[in-house]
Amino acid sequence: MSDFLLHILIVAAIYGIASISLNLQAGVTGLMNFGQIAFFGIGGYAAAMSSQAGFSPPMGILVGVVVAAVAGALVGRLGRNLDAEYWAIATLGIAEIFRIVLINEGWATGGAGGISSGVRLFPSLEGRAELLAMLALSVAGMLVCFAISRRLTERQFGRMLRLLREQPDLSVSFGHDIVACKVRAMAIGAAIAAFGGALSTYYIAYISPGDLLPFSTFLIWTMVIVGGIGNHKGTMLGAFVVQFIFVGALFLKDLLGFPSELAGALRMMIVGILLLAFLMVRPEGAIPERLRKIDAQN
Amino acid sequence: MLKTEAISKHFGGLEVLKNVALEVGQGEIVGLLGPNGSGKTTLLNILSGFLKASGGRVSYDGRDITGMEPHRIGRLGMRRTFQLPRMPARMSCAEVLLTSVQQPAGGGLISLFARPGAVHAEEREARRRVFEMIERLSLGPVADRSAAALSGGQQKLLALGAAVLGGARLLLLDEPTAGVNPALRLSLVDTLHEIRRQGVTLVVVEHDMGFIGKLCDRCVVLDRGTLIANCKPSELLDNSEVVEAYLGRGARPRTVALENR
Repeated sequence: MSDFLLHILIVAAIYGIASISLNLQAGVTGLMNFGQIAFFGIGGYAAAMSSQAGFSPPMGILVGVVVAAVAGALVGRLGRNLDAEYWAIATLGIAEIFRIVLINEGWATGGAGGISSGVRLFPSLEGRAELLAMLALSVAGMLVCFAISRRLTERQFGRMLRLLREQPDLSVSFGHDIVACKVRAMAIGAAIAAFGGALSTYYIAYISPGDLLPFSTFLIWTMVIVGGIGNHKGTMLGAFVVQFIFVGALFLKDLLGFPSELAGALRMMIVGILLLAFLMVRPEGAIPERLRKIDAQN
Repeated sequence: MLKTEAISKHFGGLEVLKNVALEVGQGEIVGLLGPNGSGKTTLLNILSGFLKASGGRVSYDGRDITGMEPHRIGRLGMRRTFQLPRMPARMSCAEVLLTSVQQPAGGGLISLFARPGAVHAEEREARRRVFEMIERLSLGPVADRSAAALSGGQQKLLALGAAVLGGARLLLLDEPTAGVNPALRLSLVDTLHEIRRQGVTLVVVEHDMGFIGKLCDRCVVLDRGTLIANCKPSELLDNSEVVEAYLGRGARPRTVALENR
């Protein structure tokens, strides 16, 4: 049982990384990215494919992060030509195209069956010790991403993103290049998501297109909204809370006497209800974004 | 400082600006007048790059800025405000002012991490200037409030303060007194004169004749997209074309007493 608990915590921390990345884009910059799972997937596939090619995990993570940052920048660049709503739809489409390409280019990606990483992050450790090491790594990774996000949002760069979120014209009149802001927010968010994806692949030792369904993007969105959109700490909390509810739904199935084949549907339904409930009753989330007080001294 | 040559703008078949030639000298305060729909805001949008002109050229500070992206024009020191203040709800008044201060290190993705010392020094200097401006505009009591929660008049002041902090050398103000109470209007005239003394040139779109009389050195009047007058504020009501544009054909100059003349 406690191994299972460790597993849930590891997955929650990895989702925490994904939530931080989405929060930078959607929460701070106001970019309605409905394709975040694709960047997570780039990190995951880069990890698996580079270990198959004989590269070490740090190299695999680096490759994923760099490729995702470039892809994120390109998607952000689309914001130059598309209005916010159309851009949001485009992100969903791009993520689906990516997933379908993965399924069909089996020679490189293993196709629908997925691809295994074949390396262990902690080859010298076994059983519980390996799980604990993985938990430490993923929580540390999440905290590093949190620190990076804070740095990005608490100074001028973050103020530019937040002004762009609400009043793009005002931001332009201040002399800020809003397309460059979008590109950067997308690139850095994609890089962080890819880091999470790579950790996930090394942990589970496997990734497949089935992990990259749009539902996963909406799961991350739910975490961000439940925790508090625009608030880094809130989004991490949201990742843990939603992950526990998501797993808890499996036990609920036994309690309600649901047949096992419906368990997946029940989980999705519960996540959907949670998302709707928060959007209707508390759209600002559990820990809302607060107005920042500026002191004369910094 | 600012010069336009034959600016024209049409939206589909609708001609909004026709052959507008305007010149503004360094340190001048020029009022841009005209009845509703005469093209004042459209002209402001073209000058600041928010709209592309259908024809003609704009030069600013001796360089051609026709078709330049609006944020680049902003960085060159041509700053504009909006007719309706557009302030963010989730940023404080002080934060909006800070965002307007040019901070190359703190605003750059790489320098933010690579040059922490420069970011820190820049931030401290920016905050010092922001608090000076807050003091100057008497925005102290609302400095930490949501910028969108400020009154209309305070939001106008905030937009003006932000433009000045951002290094404005030419300020384009779109109806700075709309929604501002009469007492504040008077102090606004003083504030704007003070801004001019610091070397800032101003172009002001305005309807309030009293305000224009006290503020502007010179007025230009737009009517249905054409410049019809270029004179001192005191001569406005002697100009039959201007009176006609505002009051209609048949109205004679000086027959209507306007307040605050």
